[in-house]
Amino acid sequence: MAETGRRDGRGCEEFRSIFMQTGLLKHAKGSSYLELGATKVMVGVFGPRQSDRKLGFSDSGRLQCEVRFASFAGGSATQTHQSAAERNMSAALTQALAPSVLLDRLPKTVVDVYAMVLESGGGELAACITAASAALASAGLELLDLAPACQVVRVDGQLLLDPTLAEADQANGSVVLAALPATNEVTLMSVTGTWSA
Amino acid sequence: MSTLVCPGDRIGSADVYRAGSGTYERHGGIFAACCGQAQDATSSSGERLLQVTAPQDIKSAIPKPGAVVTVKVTRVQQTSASCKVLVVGSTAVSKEFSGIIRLQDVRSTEIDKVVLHHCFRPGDIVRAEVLSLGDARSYYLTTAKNELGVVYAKSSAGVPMVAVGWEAMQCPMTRVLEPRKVAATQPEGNPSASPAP
Repeated sequence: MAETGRRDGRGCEEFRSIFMQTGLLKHAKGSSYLELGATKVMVGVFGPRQSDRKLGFSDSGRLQCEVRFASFAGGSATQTHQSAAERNMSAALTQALAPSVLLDRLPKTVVDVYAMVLESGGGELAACITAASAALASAGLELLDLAPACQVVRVDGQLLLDPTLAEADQANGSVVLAALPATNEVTLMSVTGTWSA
Repeated sequence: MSTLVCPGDRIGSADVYRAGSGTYERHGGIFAACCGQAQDATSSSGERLLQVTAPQDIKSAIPKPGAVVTVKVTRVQQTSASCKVLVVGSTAVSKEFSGIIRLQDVRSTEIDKVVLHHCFRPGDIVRAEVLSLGDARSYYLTTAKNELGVVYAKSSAGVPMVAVGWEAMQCPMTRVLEPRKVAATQPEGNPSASPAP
């Protein structure tokens, strides 16, 4: 096998080891815990509950996602930049998950998804999406499909799947992709950085 | 046939089966919408159905038109009684939904002579049926059937009352009669009991 130069000895298209478990939180309707290498994410799903009056009447349900970093999560998102990163990730999480939930079967209701990154080890958004999808399924909500996600970064012209924190920091560009495997539909494609021919 | 499935798993062909509960139809196939056991069933019209039943303890309960709900009255006004939906069918909701019983939906006869204060009081537990999704604030409920109405109420003395006919309840301690729209809970096969209008 060609020398890829990855610090942990993985191939360019090799994932880190995954651990996932659902149904851990007592109060949440559905929950999941995901470990992707060093990245640790916990998600709790609540609802469906009645929509707020100010959101108006809606024939289909709504998904409200929130991502938070624990104070001890570490990583490149320092305390000052955390809230901006959290807001962007919350919007991306909603975009990735909403098409996978059969929301028209839940009129006038809201489903809350709360994701917390316990430790940043690279690929936090992809981990949040995958874990949240499992949490939605464990909550018994009707889904079109599960929505797993992954991240690819470009470091010195090389494409690396499932980057660690160090690899993500060195990256010129990154793509996070979330898709529904049964029908091959992409729900989120977030491209950042420099991607040139 | 009873197999464990996940959302997005294709469980049958739309040519042979119809989509039952917990499934959806797409591209000529029947797919599972939740995690659970996929089962072959026959609907009342004789069609072959595929349904997925989730474990009992994670069933979501949201009010749907036609569902019988158990509510607690919070406010009684001139033209409507506001209430909180606590149970849908036989499943308790995780967070209460707001419902409203309008003047014209209390009884099926003599609806112009209804005095709401003589039908419900705040704190009463009422069995009602969901009429419609209503507006952004509350679901519209009705008690215009014999078996719908007050099932449990406390008198002004704070003692649970006993039903006396369909229009009143009596406090066992003070013997005072209080007017309520009582739900008829007749045993099955009892033709001698007079039906409430």
